[in-house]
Amino acid sequence: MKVPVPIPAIKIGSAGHQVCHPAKAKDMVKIDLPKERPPDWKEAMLKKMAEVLDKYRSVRLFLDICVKCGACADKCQFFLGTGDPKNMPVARADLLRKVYKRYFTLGGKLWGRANESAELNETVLKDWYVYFYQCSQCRRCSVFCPYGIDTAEITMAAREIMAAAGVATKYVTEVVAKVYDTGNNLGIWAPAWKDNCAFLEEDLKDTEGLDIKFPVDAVGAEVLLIPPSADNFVNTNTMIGYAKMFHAAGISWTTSTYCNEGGNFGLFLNYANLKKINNRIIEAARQLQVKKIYWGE
Amino acid sequence: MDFLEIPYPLHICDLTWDLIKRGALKIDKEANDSLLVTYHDPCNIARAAGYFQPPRNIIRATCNNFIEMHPDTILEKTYCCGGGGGLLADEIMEIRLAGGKPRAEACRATGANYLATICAICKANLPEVMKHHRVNCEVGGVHDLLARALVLK
Repeated sequence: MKVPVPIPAIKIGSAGHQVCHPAKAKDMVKIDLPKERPPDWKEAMLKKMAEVLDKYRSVRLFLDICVKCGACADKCQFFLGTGDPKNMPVARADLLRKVYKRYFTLGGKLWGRANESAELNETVLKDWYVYFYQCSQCRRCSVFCPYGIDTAEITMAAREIMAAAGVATKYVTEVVAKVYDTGNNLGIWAPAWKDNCAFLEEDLKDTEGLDIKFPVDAVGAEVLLIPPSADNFVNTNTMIGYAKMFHAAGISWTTSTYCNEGGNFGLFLNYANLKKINNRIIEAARQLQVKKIYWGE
Repeated sequence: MDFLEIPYPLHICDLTWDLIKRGALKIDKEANDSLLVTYHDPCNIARAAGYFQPPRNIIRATCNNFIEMHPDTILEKTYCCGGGGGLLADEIMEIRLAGGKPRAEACRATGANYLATICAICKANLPEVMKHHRVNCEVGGVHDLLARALVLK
């Protein structure tokens, strides 16, 4: 296969210094996670791991069936960009696989390292934290895996297990916490959201002489638009595109200040938050009694 | 409203493409003639949701100049922009830029000056990536193109 960048030479540990800031206690409390790593973090992680393996049989399957053929090795953009071998999908999955083998398989329990398994300790946890937060869960490797192993699901499982022991990144937890405060990832409060919409209306009037509305919280509109909050704040040309389209087609629409975010960062953290954030969409649709929900770009 | 009556969410591109197909929108494609547009498939919309064609259809309907990137870098083989999955944090900027490199190089090879995409994370990370790898290409949305081409008067 032709790749746009040459396959880099292996540079062991070259991306190891790129570590996300740890989560803040106040955000962790808000999103129902332990505010810090408890003394029995290892037990907490293994308990969660047992739960994950039981709930997501795909994860157990993916951990069992890899034959280390290497088809995925040069498919990850983070390996292509850094040359760090732990950014090869197979090696990334192995971080979790080794711990799984040690505690959940007969071979690992009996023969330990000879069976390619590893104790869960500080070093292993550090590797998990660094490299599972260098995977963007894009699933590109899974397209090329002859067994269909989806490393994104392994990353999700690992992040869920770490979160149960109070280990998560500042960025992701902050964003999830913001959604519960403001309804969106950027933390735009309702008055600011309305202000931005009014500004876009004025702007369209001044520059193009168009009288187009950007309705907010309009009960009974036909369409509820759930755009990414960045469309209201940064990518405003996209927002203008939606408004012009609705205007031209004569469809009544609205955004909601309770739920104005299409992206769900629960996916990057744990299942409980993923579900809770998604439910906000249904709640917003109920509140505004809309007929259709459309996702923004 | 009953739980089952909650409408199933659809993507805005479905609606837009439907309106275009039915001839409900008047479009002047020449408004986008200064652009050579290429399209970046965002991971979760493309690979996880199998949503490939509607945005492309809208681009073709609103622009005269559309070029695809190398077939190994689009559709289900698309590259991540480098900032997805909760990696859009400033402290790991090096990783974001490194991860975006394959996408930047694939874009450079087309010579496009506008890279359209339908993911807010891609729109946040790719401009940084393009700047760092010195690819002279604006990053924006698909509806931005529609906004320019839509005739309202």
